[in-house]
Amino acid sequence: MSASGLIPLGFMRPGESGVLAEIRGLRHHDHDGTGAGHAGPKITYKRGHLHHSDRGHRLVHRLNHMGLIPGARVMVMRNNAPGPVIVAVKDTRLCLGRGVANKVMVRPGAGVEGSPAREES
Amino acid sequence: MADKPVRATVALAGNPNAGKTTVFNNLTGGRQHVGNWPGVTVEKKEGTSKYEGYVFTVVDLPGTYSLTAYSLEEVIVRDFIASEKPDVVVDVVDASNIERNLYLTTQLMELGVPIVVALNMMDVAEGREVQIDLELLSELLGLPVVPMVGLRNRGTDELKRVIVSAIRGEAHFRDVHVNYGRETEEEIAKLEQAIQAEERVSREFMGRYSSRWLAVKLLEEDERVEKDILSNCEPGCELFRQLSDSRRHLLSIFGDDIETVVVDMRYGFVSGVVREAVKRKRDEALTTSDRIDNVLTNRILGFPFFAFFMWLMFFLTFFLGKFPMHWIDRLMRGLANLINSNLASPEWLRSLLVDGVVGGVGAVLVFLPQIFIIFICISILEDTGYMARAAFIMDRIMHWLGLHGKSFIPMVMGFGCNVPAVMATRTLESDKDRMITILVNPLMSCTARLPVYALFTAAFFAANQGTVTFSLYLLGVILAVAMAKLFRKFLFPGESEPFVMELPPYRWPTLKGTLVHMWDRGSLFLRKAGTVILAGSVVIWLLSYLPPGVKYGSASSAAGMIGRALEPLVKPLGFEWRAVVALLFGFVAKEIVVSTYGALLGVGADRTAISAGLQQIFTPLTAYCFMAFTLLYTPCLATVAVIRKETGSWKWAAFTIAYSLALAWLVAFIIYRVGLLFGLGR
Repeated sequence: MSASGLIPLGFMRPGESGVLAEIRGLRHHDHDGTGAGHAGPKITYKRGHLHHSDRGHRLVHRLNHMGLIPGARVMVMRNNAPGPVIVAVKDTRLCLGRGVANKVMVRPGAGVEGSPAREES
Repeated sequence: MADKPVRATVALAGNPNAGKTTVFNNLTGGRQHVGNWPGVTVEKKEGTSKYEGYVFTVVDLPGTYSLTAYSLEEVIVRDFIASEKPDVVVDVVDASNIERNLYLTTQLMELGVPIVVALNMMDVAEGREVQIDLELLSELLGLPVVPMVGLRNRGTDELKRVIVSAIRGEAHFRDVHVNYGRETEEEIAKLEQAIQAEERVSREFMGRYSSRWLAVKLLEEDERVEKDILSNCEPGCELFRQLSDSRRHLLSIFGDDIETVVVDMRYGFVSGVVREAVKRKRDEALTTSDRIDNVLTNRILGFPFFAFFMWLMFFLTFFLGKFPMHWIDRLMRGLANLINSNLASPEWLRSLLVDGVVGGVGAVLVFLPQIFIIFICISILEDTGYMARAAFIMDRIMHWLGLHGKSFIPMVMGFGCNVPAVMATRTLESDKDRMITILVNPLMSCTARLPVYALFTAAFFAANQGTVTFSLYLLGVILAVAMAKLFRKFLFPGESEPFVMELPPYRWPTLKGTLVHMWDRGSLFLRKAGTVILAGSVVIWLLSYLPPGVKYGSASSAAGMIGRALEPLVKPLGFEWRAVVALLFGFVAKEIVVSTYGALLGVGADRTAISAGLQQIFTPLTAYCFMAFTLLYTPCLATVAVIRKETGSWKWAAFTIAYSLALAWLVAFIIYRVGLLFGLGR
């Protein structure tokens, strides 16, 4: 477990649960490449410029729309490392490839039963 | 009431696997295919439904989790709703997974069209002791809610009644929208004003979208809305400036990307609704599906189970198929005898009927039972939800190929028919993954190749027919794997799209559903027998019969001349001229290879006679090479057409023809030459 107390979903054993903290490496626009997050909003796009085609961003939002949002309580149902993971989020069972599962950071054990909404909100 | 029916458009939207197609079939009496894996409906389908003087055009839209611009399906759904302005959108919500499903509802609400919530799968929710207060749910969403059990056709009439009352403006609607919080709402209001003030933008978009929807989408950095709107105003315009200001302001407050804030707020709204209107007696218990998955997706047991199901599929196909095959075979021979004994002249007509029609079509029809059985099996794999598990189990292996588990579903479907399999690749998010999956799909041995294997293995490998046939399926799979790897490396380099897929709960397949599905796909084969194969058989008969006076099907017939002219091309593979003719016509549909031999050997549909004839011109080694060639070469016309449609270019269709032809020749050549080295020539 890292110093922040977060652990990648892909490292959790079947039956272990926790609260999704963040989806790593992909969350912010990493404008300056330092990984430091926002240096400030940069709206420098020109007409028709597709500035959101980066895969990381798409992935985070795909996961969000399928129910994997920060604050959601997740439980690992199956972990076929180094293969994919099956994770339960509420009534949904999602199959995540290894690469994805290792980017989903979870605070193990914690969480408010029955509330998928953001904890801090 | 007016006599003339009132026409209206009803669109069905909802999450993948929420049962939209079942509701569609219930409404329209249609028989669209329903499966139990997310993404069965890959394009929109239309049907009609009537109720109390109304005629609805019902449109089944692809399932989506959201309405962003990230995937083609989502864009199709929102464009359809915005441009076609359906009178009512029925949002099919899976009651057993209500929270995730209502997330889409919040976005549909923003589009500003009348929505009726069809709360489907109420039985599953009740089975899990989830109680939903329908009235309160309707009140909180501000939308009419109709409970349904789509699979048992319960609630359909009530849904029609509510649709009609929504069209008449009598249904209960209340203007409810997600509140994104004070700061965001202020920025939304400013942006709405800026949008309305921008003349070109409001003229172009306001008829279709509400200004609120546009404002939220701009804040969410929706690629398409942004591109469309900003290309309609000057770079320094007020809207552009306002957008920059609003985003900067919200980022400074939330320190997070705004789309995430918007997503959170929507979930927050849904969570509030669910907390009020849904009561669970037991919380997050292991469902039956989870228990089954503990075994079927188990690290150690998963793969053997999968292999067993595949083996079972082929065992049932070949073992159970044998019996009705004999009956049809006997029937065809009886038919030929009947014509022979009752129709002595004219000779050409007798020959056309016996050698051409009965010989050509009959030789193929014999395989109808096997084809139907394989389609039943694939249908069961899909309807139970096992197909999605197969994708999970195969992910590791597919990963090694540079693809992921989801690409595996179209591959298995290819064992049935490559045409729906190629279409099923639409569920893959990445274009590169999709192209590779499409290009290798024809190498998966479809049912049309079965007649060829059955005929040749019976003639040359009677003792171990099963093993030889299995080896051909395996050859197809191995080459598909190898080609996928090559294509990934040289044509579509890069990593595969991250693997994310919903696992639907297991369901019992319904007898009706399975039979309908089997019939829909199997009947295509029957139709093919009555059209393409019949026409092909008649042409081959004609070529074998002409020029007049020539011995039927001999080397001096027209067919013989064509075959002999091209014979040098296949000589290195150990084939003679008849093979050229058979393969040439097999391009139309691979079953025709069998019909052609029936015709060219002059024995019609009599399988024993064809076998005897084949033994004169093939050795076991060349027979095996010929089967391998038939498996691998140029996909049939229908598959080529669907590849052209799905890739959007003739280039890739032509590429598939060329590479598979080259591959077939090379593989047959290697097998033949290696076989000769080992003294297998005789």
